[in-house]
Amino acid sequence: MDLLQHLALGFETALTPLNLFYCFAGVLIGTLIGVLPGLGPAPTVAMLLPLSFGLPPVSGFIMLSGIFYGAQYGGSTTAILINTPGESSAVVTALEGYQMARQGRAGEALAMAAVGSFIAGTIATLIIALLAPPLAKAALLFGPAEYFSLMVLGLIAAIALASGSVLKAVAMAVVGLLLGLVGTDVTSGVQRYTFGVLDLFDGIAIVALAMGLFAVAEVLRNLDDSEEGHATVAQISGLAAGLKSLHRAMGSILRGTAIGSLLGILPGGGATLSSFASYAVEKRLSKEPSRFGSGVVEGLAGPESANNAGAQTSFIPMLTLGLPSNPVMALMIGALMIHGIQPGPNVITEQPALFWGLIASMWIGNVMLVVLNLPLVGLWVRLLTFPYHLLFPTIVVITCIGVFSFSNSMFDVWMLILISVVGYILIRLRCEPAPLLLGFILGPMMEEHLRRALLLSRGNPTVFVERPLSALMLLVAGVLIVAPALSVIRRRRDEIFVED
Amino acid sequence: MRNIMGADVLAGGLFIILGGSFLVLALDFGFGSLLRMGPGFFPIVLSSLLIVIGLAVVARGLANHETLQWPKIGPHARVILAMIAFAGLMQPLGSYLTMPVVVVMAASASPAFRWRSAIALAVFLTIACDLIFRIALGLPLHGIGPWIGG
Repeated sequence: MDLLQHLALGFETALTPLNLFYCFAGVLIGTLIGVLPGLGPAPTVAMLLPLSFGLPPVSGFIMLSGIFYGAQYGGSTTAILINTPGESSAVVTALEGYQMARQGRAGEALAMAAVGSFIAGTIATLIIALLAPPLAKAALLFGPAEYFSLMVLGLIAAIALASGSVLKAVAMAVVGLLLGLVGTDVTSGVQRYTFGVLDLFDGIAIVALAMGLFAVAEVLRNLDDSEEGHATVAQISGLAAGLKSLHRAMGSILRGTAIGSLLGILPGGGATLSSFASYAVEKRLSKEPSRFGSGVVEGLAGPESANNAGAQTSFIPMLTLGLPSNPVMALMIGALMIHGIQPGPNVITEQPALFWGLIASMWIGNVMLVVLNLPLVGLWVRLLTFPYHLLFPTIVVITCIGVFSFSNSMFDVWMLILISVVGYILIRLRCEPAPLLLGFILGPMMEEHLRRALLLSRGNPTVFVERPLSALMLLVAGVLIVAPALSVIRRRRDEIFVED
Repeated sequence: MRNIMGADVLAGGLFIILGGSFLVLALDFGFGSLLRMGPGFFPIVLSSLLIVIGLAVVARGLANHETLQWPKIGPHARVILAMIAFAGLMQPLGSYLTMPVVVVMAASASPAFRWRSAIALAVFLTIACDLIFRIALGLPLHGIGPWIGG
């Protein structure tokens, strides 16, 4: 069978000592940094992006993915133990997890999170293996008009499902699209927005943009509320109890996995939406919904599985369509392009070792996470108490060196400084940086597909609504942005918390 | 802390200025036609869209009378200055002198700043970065720069 052959190739690739090492290194470093309070997956991946550039593409990519789910997992540990979710998808984990920890059930919560994530990761990995190839084949039938509309939909969905003002998020995406155009226009050779500066001919370095927006701007924002928080770390006990209550939470884990896998595939989906949705479902299905918020196992296991499943399946649109559904996937696409690989439906056929190796390594990485995290939890706890006043100078130095190392040019560091300042101002003005990064990645691709679509239709712009699939995607995008249904989703999301 | 204009008014204004600058520059690229999009086509469409959204955001901000708390910028300035020191000094002065300066400058932004812990961190990071980035990863970071005879 085809799938078995492919998986065999994948494991062959992922199990070479070199790749095994980079998978392990990625998972370990990712967890290590993800555990630090206030650092979610996006800044972690952004900061560590340069580490992967010297490696062969497969190894580099395996390591980056390891960093990603390691950081995702580390964020849950932080959320459970000190109630400081590093990023939005861990918010839900903190709801029940921290309550459990306060009742002396931290070990149970951590074990539950680990096992739930592992089960979800395993199933989600299988789903990627099964679903990605046919989807990529279908995507090969897409014309430029479909692609353009798909990208519009992807951007809008990512915006609509994020928190905050939709209008400002759209503006940020447009700024990102424009910034993505800086550099030499591939079609005409015209320099756009380069001001004759040689360092800009290839465009703005994604590393400088991502680190400025996600790492440094975040440091600056944390300086706003400058009191040093005294984190109280919950005692860990009862890891074994977690394994016992596993059968009770199994239903929640599987439901969470299903929800996460489904929502992760959708453009704009991913970990955050999945965990919120799963929490809502668990609460609705529960016999005693009023106990939610006081440390209910189901309310932890479901969302924790969902966010891991969603994180994994968000690789599907990235690998098959070249479409980033969240900032981390945008960074992954950036990494692929730096290695000279154009993400899209051709990756599976042209780079089978990369694709299947990555999938196999995801599963191996999930095994490593469980093996690594349960025994090492004591070490992570010590990291949690690492004071922020020493952490942030470290972040500043690492980002500067990281950006410098990317191109060996100080120009990019100056760029980083500029982007950090502007990024901080934008965050202060309550504009989210994520859509900007997505737009930055999609800008050149959207322009190219738009140009081709118009050329094929002899300059007739109605092509986007005449082709049924393209029209459907634009329609969905339109609905997402205007429909009052959106405010219903929002209200419901708030309700989850308000009721407690 | 003092109150200035609303967040939406400022954000919208920023979008209008950005959109305007992108638009003016794009006018020289060549618009082309729908059939053959020139290099200016997409930027002009996008920056016009940005200006329109910016206007809408400003309008909403004016209607809401929202005000914004702006924090003291002292700590932020120190972090930015530390990064500027990195960019300006790394090559001429070398990492052994630049790194401690950068770390201490950045660390001084925190109210929890203590010379002892900051210097300890500076020494640790200078050595760690030298080992990781210069020796292990082979980056062209010089320990001692030309200004001090390197």
